Amino acid sequence: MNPWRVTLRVIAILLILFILIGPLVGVVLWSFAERWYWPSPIPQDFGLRFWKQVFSQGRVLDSILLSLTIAIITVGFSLALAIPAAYGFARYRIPLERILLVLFLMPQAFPQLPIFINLASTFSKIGLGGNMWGIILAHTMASLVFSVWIVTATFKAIPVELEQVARNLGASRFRTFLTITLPLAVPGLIASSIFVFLWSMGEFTAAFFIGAPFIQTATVLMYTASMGYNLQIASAIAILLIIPSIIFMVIIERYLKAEYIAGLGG
Amino acid sequence: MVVLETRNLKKYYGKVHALDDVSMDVEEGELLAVIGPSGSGKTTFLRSIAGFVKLDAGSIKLHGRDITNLPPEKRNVAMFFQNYALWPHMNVFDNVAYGLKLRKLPKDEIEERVHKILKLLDIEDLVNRKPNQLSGGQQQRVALARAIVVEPELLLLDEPLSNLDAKIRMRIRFEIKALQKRLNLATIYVTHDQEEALSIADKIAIMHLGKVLQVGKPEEVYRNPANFFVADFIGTNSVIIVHGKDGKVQIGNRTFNLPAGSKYARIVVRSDEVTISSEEPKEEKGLTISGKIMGRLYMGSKYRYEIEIEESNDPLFVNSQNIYDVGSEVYVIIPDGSFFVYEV
Repeated sequence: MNPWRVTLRVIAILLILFILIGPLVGVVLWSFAERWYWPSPIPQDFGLRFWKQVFSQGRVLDSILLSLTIAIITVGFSLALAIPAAYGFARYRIPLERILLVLFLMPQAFPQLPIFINLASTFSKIGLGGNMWGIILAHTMASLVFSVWIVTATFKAIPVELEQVARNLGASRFRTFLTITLPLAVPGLIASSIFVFLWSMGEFTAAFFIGAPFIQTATVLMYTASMGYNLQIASAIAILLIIPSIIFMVIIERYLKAEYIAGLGG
Repeated sequence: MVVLETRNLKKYYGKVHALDDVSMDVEEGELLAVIGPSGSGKTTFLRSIAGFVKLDAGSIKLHGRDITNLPPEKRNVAMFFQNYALWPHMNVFDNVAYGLKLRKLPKDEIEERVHKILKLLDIEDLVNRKPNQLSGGQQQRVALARAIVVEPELLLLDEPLSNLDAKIRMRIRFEIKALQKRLNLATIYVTHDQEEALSIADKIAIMHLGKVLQVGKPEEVYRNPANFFVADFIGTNSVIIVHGKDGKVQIGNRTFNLPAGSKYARIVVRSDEVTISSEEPKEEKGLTISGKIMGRLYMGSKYRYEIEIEESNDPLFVNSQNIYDVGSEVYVIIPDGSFFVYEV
């Protein structure tokens, strides 16, 4: 092969790698840096001091646990709302269907700050401020766009004949949904769960304005830490925040693949 | 004994009459083939019996029980879908056993009945396969097994052979017929293929624009078509238009009277039932038309001729096993019963 092309290719790959994992490298370096002054490219002193701090301070682990709890309950809520809504959109003629679908996009379509500040003031009036359930409600509302859109597309992709055969053989509407439609929709349900879970884990604005200062999710704590120039603590939290997401994705990706292959034959 | 009785079924989609006063019966063990071009209402008819189309009027009775307004799951008719509609997340066994499980039969009985039906259809060894591991023909059998294993009162087949290769189609035609007779199962068979319908049916119904034009035995429908549409739709035909003069239409050795107001006649000729001769026949039987051969196609077992005739602007297409040269003058002899005249 032409040496120029090889060189170009290597440069391109290095560039992509740099863009993809460069920021992560910085975060990892910072979490172990005990002393790091400009202009040194790497920290002068490495150590586990800040990691020890993170694990000895209960509030860090508590905040990660809180983020996980909020994310998991949000996934549950948004699926519980999205499945019936999406089935309706997919199977019945609903007037203004497109407009209704676009409405779910609204919380994501505008700048998050004004939306969640308004929501926070409303929530604090009805006792949902400084409260985990307030954040969960806000996350559920804003993540409905992922779940409703993805699940609607999933249901639409399931041929209606597959349901009709079941009815024809004696299954009620509900039984047909449980034994035919829902199992076939699993890949889409999982895909939407991933989106909602990851979005909720990383969401800052709603968590900050609704929850703080009474409860702090991991992202809020990270923000507070980095504002206090404690970049090491913030970096450690950032790394800890990535871990559940990676585990979630690995588990789900294995399951997802098998289901997709099974679904392709129909 | 009458199994299915449909009376005055009506279904409108806006201004389109999908079913326009349709009444048909199916007897015990009978196979009724419903044929028609696309948009004729044949599939709507089938789906209304299965309960997937809500009728605007009419009644459906199954063994005397009124099922007109019952939901699909309470009808005890089994429908075979054109695209098979096998469930991709279940293996063959679970697909076939689904209806039996719903009937809460004991496990041993379910296994026994599934295996029996799979054996009958010669797909026993596929029991653990998923649908995406099956060929089209195998999928077709599994779908058929799933429909008949529940021992329905009526079997509905929607274009069962349309997704198969032409060669397999011929063989499966016989198999379906044999299976249906063996199980003595009242069946409605919807197809757009008139030849398939003629060969498999005990009774044929021809539909067009939501109406039933004729119901009868295959031979009856073929020999005594009720109108031009039926005559033209069934069989391999050539249609020529002959214009009238002084209330009469003259073609070959025959003259037909036109009713007042008619301008021309359409003549449907069964292409396979004619004789071609280079000499004028002596007998005055049937209809003899003279013409000139304009084209010849080799069809394997026969030749297809395009013949120009004086009486019409339309060429006559007929089939013969004998070979004639293009350009030669011939006589086409069409026996009585092999041509039909309709005034327009």
